[in-house]
Amino acid sequence: MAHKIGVGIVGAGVVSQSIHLPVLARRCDDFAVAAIWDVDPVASALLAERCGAGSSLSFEDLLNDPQVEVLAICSPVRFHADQVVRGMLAGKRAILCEKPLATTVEEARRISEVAKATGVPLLVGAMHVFDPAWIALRDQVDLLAAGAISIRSNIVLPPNARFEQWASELDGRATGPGPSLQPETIRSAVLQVAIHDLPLIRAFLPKGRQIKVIAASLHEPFGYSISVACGECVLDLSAHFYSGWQPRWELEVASAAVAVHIEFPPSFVHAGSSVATSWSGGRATVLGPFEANGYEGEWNAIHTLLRGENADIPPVEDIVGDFQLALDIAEQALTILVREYEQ
Amino acid sequence: MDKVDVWLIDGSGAWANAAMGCAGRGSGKIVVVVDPGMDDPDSIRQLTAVIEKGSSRIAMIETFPGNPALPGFLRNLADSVSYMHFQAWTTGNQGNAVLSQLRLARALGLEDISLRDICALPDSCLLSFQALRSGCRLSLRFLVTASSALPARHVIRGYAADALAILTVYDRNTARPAEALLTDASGQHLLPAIYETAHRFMLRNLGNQTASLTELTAFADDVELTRSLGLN
Repeated sequence: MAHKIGVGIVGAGVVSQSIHLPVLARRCDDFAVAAIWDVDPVASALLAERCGAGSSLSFEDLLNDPQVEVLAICSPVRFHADQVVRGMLAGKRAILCEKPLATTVEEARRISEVAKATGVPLLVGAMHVFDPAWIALRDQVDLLAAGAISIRSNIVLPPNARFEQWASELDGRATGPGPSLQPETIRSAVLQVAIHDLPLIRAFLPKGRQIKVIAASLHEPFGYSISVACGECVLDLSAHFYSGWQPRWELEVASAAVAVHIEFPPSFVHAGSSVATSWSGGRATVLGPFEANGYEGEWNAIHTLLRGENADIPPVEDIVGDFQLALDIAEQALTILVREYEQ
Repeated sequence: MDKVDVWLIDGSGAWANAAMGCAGRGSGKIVVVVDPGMDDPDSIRQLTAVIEKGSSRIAMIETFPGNPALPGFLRNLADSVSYMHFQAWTTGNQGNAVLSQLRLARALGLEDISLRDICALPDSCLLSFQALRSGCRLSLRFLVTASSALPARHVIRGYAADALAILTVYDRNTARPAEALLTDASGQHLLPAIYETAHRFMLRNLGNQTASLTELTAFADDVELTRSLGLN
């Protein structure tokens, strides 16, 4: 029987249950969930029982478990950097860390240093980076990267809990009140929502140019819009959360002669890839939908990598750069909003 | 005696002066300006005064805001729209695209449009505005991309607490009717649209579609605002 790669899950929350465990169940020929650890021992025991895994009593136990070859870090962001570093130092074969990677640039740099020193591969759970339609679009991305003039990222989402529940068949979660329109909210909106597409967006931004956030605003019931300039490219980031039923998750990039539009499924949806359309010279090309999605893409990459083959994963410098871009936008947008609210 | 009843004027040049000349050539004339562009705002205001004093009427045929799909879209746009996004794909200059966006905003009932921020680059720009719609404040964003990748079009998106609305208006040379898509709790509706340009629609309805003096003044204000942006 072929060796199954042992996975240790850190955090028994909704991301583990709605994203990674369903994917690993589908990839059960290649992966086995070896152990689960959560700060809440009851939560980890219950979840471990559901998927036939062991339940670790501490993070240290999980690190010392020889069956755990790969760590999937799905804990709150404030723990990410420490857990990634400890996982690497413990000699795990690969680490998948949910986004955002860290809370500060210093933490991200520390992760980068340890990744380089240990040689442990790191993936960030930015599923759109691993989406087959995005990957199929690569030639157009290279064409556009040299001359992108506008980028529009627009995320329209019904309540997230609906998709989480469909993916995991968990009992319905209380949704609670929506986020407030206080300036501080923009920071978490960027680091939790806009961040999904920022690695893709960064691929189009002129290299070595600073970004400048020109405007930021929040709107009812909850949404944001942020205007960014980078070199000769404008970046239009917006989101709208509402009680309607239709999600729309779009990324659109244009140069003087080429444009691409990608429509992603909402988070937590395990039903195939995004659809990418490119236009050039009066011709439209549609790529996708493909059967696999970005979540599977993440685990496919890990599997390929651990088989000793070339996996298409971003180098750690890019991962840190992606995080730095997100943090830059979040901090600059926050500064603008705070200033406006004070006036 | 002047036997002409309807004067058609190309709006790409100094159309306000030309319109004043036509309006002064007899009573009961209709002066039609086709695709009025960024003429001098003071001349446009002067034209308003001439029309007000005389008995001629004026009509403006504007490719995008004059599209016959707009009234239906406006009627169905949710009252609770809190954010609107106007996106222009243009092969021309950005100033004209922004003027069309302002005109579209007016046609969709937005008033008191005030600029908050602008990010203007050689081939694209992003502008933030605040405006009033039915007395309620909402945020507006204009994105303009000067690209030949797609045929020229305007896409307008309205976001409400429980509904979405998207209107795509194609250029007059694109044989496609506008697409007005409304999404609410009852489903998604594509509003009826016809293969008719703003030009044909206006000419067919010339008897009752002339512009009010307020509209002409608003046009002058929109030109003034657009010119102040100093776009390419």
